[in-house]
This record gives sequence, C-alpha cells and structure tokens, in this order.
Amino acid sequence: MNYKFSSDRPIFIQLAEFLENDILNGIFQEEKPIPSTTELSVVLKLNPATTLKGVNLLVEQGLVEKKRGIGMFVVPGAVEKILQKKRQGFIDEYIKPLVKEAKSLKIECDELILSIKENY
Amino acid sequence: MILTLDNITKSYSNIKALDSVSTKFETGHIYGLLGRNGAGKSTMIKTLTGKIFADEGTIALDGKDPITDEGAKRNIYSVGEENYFVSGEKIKKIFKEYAYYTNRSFDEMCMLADKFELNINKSWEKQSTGYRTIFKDILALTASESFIFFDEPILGLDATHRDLFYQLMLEKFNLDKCFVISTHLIEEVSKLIDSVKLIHHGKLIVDEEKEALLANLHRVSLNSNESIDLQNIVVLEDKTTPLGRSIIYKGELNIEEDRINNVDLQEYFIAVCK
Repeated sequence: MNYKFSSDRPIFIQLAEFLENDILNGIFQEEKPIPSTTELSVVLKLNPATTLKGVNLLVEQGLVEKKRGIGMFVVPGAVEKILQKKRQGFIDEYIKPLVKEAKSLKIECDELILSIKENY
Repeated sequence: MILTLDNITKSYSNIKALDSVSTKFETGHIYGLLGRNGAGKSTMIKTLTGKIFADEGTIALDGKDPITDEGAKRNIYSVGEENYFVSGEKIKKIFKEYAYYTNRSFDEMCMLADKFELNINKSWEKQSTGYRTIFKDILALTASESFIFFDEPILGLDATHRDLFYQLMLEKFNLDKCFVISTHLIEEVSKLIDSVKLIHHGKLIVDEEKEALLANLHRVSLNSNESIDLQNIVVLEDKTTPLGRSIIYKGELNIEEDRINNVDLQEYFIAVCK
C-alpha cells in the first residue's frame, strides 16, 4: 500500500486513483471487498467525508458497489473498465507532456519514436 | 446538532479579539479553526464553553443557550492552553476524578496514556510541553460530549505522537460528533478536516468547505515582462521575485491550462493572513 498524497490536488480524487490502481493491480480483486471508509480514513489519516467522497467516485463509475450491511465490493468487470479509462487518459497524461518535453529539448519526432521502441 | 454563533464580539481593553463573528458548527464534520497566533481562535472556543463571556451576540446549541442550559452545556467540551488543574496533582489522580465526575472510563484514559507512553504517576506540571498536550488530548479523546474543541492539540508533539493522535481522533469520530481542531500547523491537519474556518484579526474571513475552497484557488506564473488581464479574478497575492511573477487568485483566468497550478491550504493561508 503506497498511498502518498500530495497537497496540491483534491485528496478525494487522489484516493479514488490509488484505489483504482490497486484494483487494476489485483490488490483488490473483483467480487472481493475493499476496506471500509472508516478503515481507510483511520489508516490513511484522512477526513471521513473526504474518504467517502473518494470511494463514491468509484461507486459512481460502477467500479465498486455497496452491499448493505457487509461493505464495499469490487464489481465484476471493474478491471476492464479502469483499463479503458486509463487508456483514454494516457495521451493527455503521458504522451502530451512527453512530446512537450521532447520539443523543449529539441529531440526530433523520429528520434523520440526510436527511443520509445528501444525502451519498450 | 448545530452550534450557532451569531454576531459574537469580544474585546479586551480596546482590541477586538472577536469582531461580529457569525458561523455554525454541525455534527458529522471535522473543522479546522485556523488563524495566526492571537487571531482569536482560543477566544472563540472560550466563549463557546462559557469560560469567558462575549460582549455581544448569541450562542445556541439547537436553539438552547449552552452557557446556561444544563443539557446543552454538557454537549460541548474543550481543552486548551489554559491549565485549570490542581497544582502538583498526579495525572493518575486527575484521571480518577474525571472518571468519577464525567462519563469517561478510567481504563480507557490509562490505555491511551500507555499508547503515548505518558507517565501517569507524575504530576501534570512536571511533564514536558508535549506530554502536557498529550494529557489534555486524552481528556478530549475520551470525552462523551458531541462537540469537542481541540485547541492546539499537537503543540510540542513529535511526529510519532502526532500521527497517533490523528489516528485516535479519527477512530473516535462518527456522524454524531463534531470535532474542531484549532491550530496554526495547517499542512498536517489539511487532510483531516472537511471545512475551514479562518480567523484573522478577530474576523472570520473564510468559512467554507475545504475542497470547494481549494477548487477555486489557483496560482499562475508569469515572466516579469508579461502583462495579464486581472479584471475577472480576485488577486490574493501578487509577488515578483527574481524567479518571475507569481499570482495566487480566485476565479477563472483565460490562459493556457498548463501554466495554472493548484494552491494548497498552507499557501492560501499565508496569502490571506498578512
């Protein structure tokens, strides 16, 4: 569990991202429970309302669901959904900054592609 | 439950420690009561618990006066800087008295003391600053009141003890409780609170939900020769250093998105509390 929060972005969004990553990496498996909001709040030293807001982001996206009286569970198909979403964000989050940095370092497009291939 | 302050004013000689403060505290929330030293945080807490009386204004807990109404009075607890314990008394004895006169459990107080490695066989006066704070924190953490005001609860605490305090506080919290953390150490409590009340020179200048407040705050960096239209934004700080010009503002600015950064609570605090 490596949940390190930075102070310059909304905490609930960061929490949702950490949980998504843990679902993606199989730490929380489909149809299995995730920790309760109270547990998350105490362990991560987060405000309970913030914690709930973060978990609710996952509920809204259909990634986890509340089962009355027993807790929160990862929905079947959640991994695929997260994968799709992250792929869509990949260009904005990784490719665009990469290209921008490459341009500022005067690295040509061909050169960049080559180095990607070498490191893939 | 809602604790309401309406137009509270309190002056010491000619200085207004609180200047027409109106706000409310609700159960289910953890508030950060922020402000610089001497801003009026402790004065506000003391008026709420009847330790001092406001010159003007009213306080109500679900419509009842918490200073005179016995039921309402028993629902607000604060522990702060002032020491009102008997001189030379051992902590163990104070715990016993609290267990006798309040709903606190002696065993629970001892268990918490154990976690903090607080020596309860020593008098409270002979403890270090940090352990005196811990002693008071234990009384606050074991209180059965709904509204609990923590006045500088991490004063003198080392990193391990601060972490333990945050954990215990969150374990104690539930929707029937309202916790208010008064502090000038903002960065650490930022994750723990959901709402911000900021007092500056006795006035309540910010009273907002934390995420909503931060979502509206930005910082833009400019080259020193660059000009920018500041018409539609509220400028909180406009600083030019050898590294360029930096503006903290509220609102939306028409500029490339990658030049705009978010502002954290501490940066905001410094910008508005000058």
